[in-house]
Amino acid sequence: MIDCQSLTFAYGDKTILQDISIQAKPGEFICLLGASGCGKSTLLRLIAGLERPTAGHIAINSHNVDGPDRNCAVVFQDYSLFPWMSTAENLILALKAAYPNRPRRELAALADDYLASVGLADAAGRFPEELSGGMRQRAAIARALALPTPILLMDEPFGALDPINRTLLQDLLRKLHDDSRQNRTIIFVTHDLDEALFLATRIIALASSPGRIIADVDNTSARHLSHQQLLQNHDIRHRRQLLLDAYQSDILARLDAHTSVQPGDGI
Amino acid sequence: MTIALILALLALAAAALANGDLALLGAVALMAAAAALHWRLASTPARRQAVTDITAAIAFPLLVWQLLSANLKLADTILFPPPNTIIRLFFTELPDMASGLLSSLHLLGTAYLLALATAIPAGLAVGHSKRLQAAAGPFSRILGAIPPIVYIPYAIALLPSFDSASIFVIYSGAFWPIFANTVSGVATIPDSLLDSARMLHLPTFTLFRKVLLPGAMPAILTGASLGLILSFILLTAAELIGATEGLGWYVKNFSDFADYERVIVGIIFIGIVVTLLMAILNLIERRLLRHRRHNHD
Repeated sequence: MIDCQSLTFAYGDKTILQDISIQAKPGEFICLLGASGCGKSTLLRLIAGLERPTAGHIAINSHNVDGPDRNCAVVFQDYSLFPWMSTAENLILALKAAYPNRPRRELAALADDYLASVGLADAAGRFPEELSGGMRQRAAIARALALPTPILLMDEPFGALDPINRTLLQDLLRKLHDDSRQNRTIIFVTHDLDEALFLATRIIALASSPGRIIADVDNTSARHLSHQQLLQNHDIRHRRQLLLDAYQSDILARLDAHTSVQPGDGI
Repeated sequence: MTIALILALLALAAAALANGDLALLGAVALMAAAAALHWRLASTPARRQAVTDITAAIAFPLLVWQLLSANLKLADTILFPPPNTIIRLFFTELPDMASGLLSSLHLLGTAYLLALATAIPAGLAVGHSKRLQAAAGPFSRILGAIPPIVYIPYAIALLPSFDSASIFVIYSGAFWPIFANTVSGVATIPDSLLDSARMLHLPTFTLFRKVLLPGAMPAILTGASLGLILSFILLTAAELIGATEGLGWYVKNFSDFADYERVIVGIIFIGIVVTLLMAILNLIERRLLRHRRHNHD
């Protein structure tokens, strides 16, 4: 239902993304994996409709994306929540925009339900700056889940968290995706290979300058494994190596192509 | 320092008593009591030091003033009336000054609220739209740079009444700092918050009221207090030129008669009024920015 056709994105004369094609089916949890600067966040913003591609086009459910798209909710790495409203008010504001005709009381109850689903029932009345980083991201996820959008886009949402909170939120997110009745599609940007292996049903690896896809692997089999099992499972270790090899051979290929060093040239 | 201060306060009380200046004596006692109370309530040594310093900064000049003008009679009493006279006169003149204040506040309030009501929405709209920003930039820079005081004579000649002329002048003085700060306040809102707002598809009015306005609020408040100070300066300036009542007129009128006792009383009164207005604005600011007071981690 997400259909990216040969997307290219350039900033001035620098090509950030080149010829990216991705088709995502409902219910998939896709991790866009890549080092910083490979354009994975840009790709996410293109799908959200926050940026326009230089060439190629994106369609969601056969409708062209040409502006912030109503099918997508986004969780950013920081500042997704408005700091001047309480956590509950943040959710209610989003719900009010999605359901303009429903009474506020009903939306407030819905907001409370979603906050409870991420373990934040007690934080409803508190301002985002009174919460820890992990709690803030929980609230941002609750807001995104509360919206009736079939697609959830997440831009390194756990990038700024400490390792303990990061692991807890990974568990929570995978559980929420398993539970989601509407069969929600998630596209999750990360530079952390282990995070991708734990969360994704499918991993798309991007290499840099310009950003392009170097591997696209199915990861469904990892979804029932715990963090602990993931480290020991033979298939997963193999997949991990496969992805690392893809990056390795990309680097080597680029060295061959661009630098034919003659003896003595460097001296 | 504290001992020097206590000695200065005692010297002040003695000087007042020696001259039979009971009003000054009362004022000194009140000041000492207020300082002692603040000193006791101060939660840190730094704040305690501040109380001492501030009291000293009032007590020593007051002591010199009292000695020169009252006890030793070295100063010219027309230009430098003794503190006791000023304090007594302050209370005698209070009803007159209060009615002047009412007339001034009527002009100030109308013009300032008008400036807030137009400059904030205009600033939010311009700050939000790149096109409007490019178009409004030159006007804002040129018109904002003209000291509004130069409009006063022309405004008085042009507009039907003194009231409308001074409201216009105060308005044009208060508008630009509020407007310019609102525009730059919108620019300080983090991009990802605006992206977040875009993805939520907030209706335009909600976007302005719930995102742009609170996001720009710290800068708007800076602009609002600048605008208030400027309004007050322009108000008194306008009254000095063309009014028949009001605080500025009060000072101007009595200086025309070389009644410097009342001029000083008027200046002190204006100082108190401005301080109170700024304190009210400060309370509003703390209320509006309460989400920023508790940073943890």
